[in-house]
Amino acid sequence: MASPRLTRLRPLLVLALFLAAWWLAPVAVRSFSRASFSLFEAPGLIAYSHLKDLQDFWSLRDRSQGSLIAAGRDLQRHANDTDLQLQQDAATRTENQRLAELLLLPPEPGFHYEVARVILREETAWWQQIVIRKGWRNGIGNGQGVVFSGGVAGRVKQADEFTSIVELVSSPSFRVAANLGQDPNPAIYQGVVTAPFHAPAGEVRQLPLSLRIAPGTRLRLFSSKLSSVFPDGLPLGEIERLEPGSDGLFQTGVVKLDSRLASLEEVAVLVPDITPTLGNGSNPVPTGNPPGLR
Amino acid sequence: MRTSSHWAIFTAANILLLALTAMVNDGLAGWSLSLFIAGPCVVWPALRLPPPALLGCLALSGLAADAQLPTPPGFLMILFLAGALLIQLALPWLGSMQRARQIGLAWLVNALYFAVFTSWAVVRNQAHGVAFWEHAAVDFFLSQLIVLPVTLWFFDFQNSLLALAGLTAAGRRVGRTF
Repeated sequence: MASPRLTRLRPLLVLALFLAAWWLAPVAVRSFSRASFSLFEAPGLIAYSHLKDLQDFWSLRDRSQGSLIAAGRDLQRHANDTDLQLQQDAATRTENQRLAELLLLPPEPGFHYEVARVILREETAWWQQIVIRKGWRNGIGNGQGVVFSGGVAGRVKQADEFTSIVELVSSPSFRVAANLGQDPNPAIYQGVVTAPFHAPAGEVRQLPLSLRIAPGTRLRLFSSKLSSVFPDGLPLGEIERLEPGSDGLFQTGVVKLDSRLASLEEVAVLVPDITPTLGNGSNPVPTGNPPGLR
Repeated sequence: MRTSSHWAIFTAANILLLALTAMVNDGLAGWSLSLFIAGPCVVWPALRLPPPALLGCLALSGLAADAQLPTPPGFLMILFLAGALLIQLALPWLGSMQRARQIGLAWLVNALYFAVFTSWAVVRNQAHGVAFWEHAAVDFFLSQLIVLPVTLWFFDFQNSLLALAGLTAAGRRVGRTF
């Protein structure tokens, strides 16, 4: 018969054996278990998302006819504005293509938008992420960029079959190349944890010492294609103030992100086209906001 | 005791609690707040299930939560199992587990888990700014405040599920039966 001391240590041994088996298990086994559980949870998540949509639908039904007419009128204005922008975009794309052909430039990788509803949002001190209602069945893969009507939203962290986890631009582990639009010098953007009840924020490093912000103004920060995740020119945020960097060679900026990041309902994933194109009618290079995102 | 039914009920209840917490966090995201409620998932299984059933229950509950977390695979599962082990090892010193003590235990385990997650985030992101600690402190106090009534409800809920399944909630103390 085992001694009482050994009996007391038995749970410890069982746990140690289980942990050893888990750590020694091949990565494929652990990944498979994760994917299996994600697949198992997907119907519940999708049902919850549809329930939220239904809730929105019924709350909209309670609106008065007058407010619906006003919303329809505003929507019509936006649609007209979007039509004009699309025409300008088409002209710009044609001009770009002509110049690229003249200069014999290699074709740039193209993207198309995969619009997805947001199921869950999570804003903890540890991470900031959302779960969206589309996965690798829709061509979404790990590491792809995610945008919304305000600019860059984040990056796909984990694409499962029906859902995907997106790491938000405000997450401390999110880091991409950025620039100031007219100034092509690359800078590094990284998300920063903010205190509760504060707007999402980030930090930009490696800004030149000569850079100044006039009082009462802000500098706009854009994505850079150097990141190979986002194309040039997507808004990241606005630089509020500059501080000297720790190395004394560069400046660091505090970036204010779009406050709508905390209430995302719909985003678009930038799915790279299989055949690289410079951007034609069927596979537009994203240079603005995808339509219909909230 | 029909442990096979017990572990299935405890597992389902745990997954439901974790899913409800995720839904509440979805609503709180607009204010940059979140709740962390994992402590109550461990207490009853640790007190009432024999080792194989306990392992199955907490492994399934932990892996289900891990599927949506950016932590390494099995992170919460290992925390669940370690928490259950700590409870079992501490049983001889804890004495009889009255309801108030069980709730206190869930509160304590939740606080420990929160500390582990925060340490992991600090190591992973090198996050040590004032805003990070402010955010973590607010989340911690909010979670620890909410976890008390939630645990009270959760234990009643598990009791109701057991009663619906025609099972008794009274189980043996597993620490002595290994």
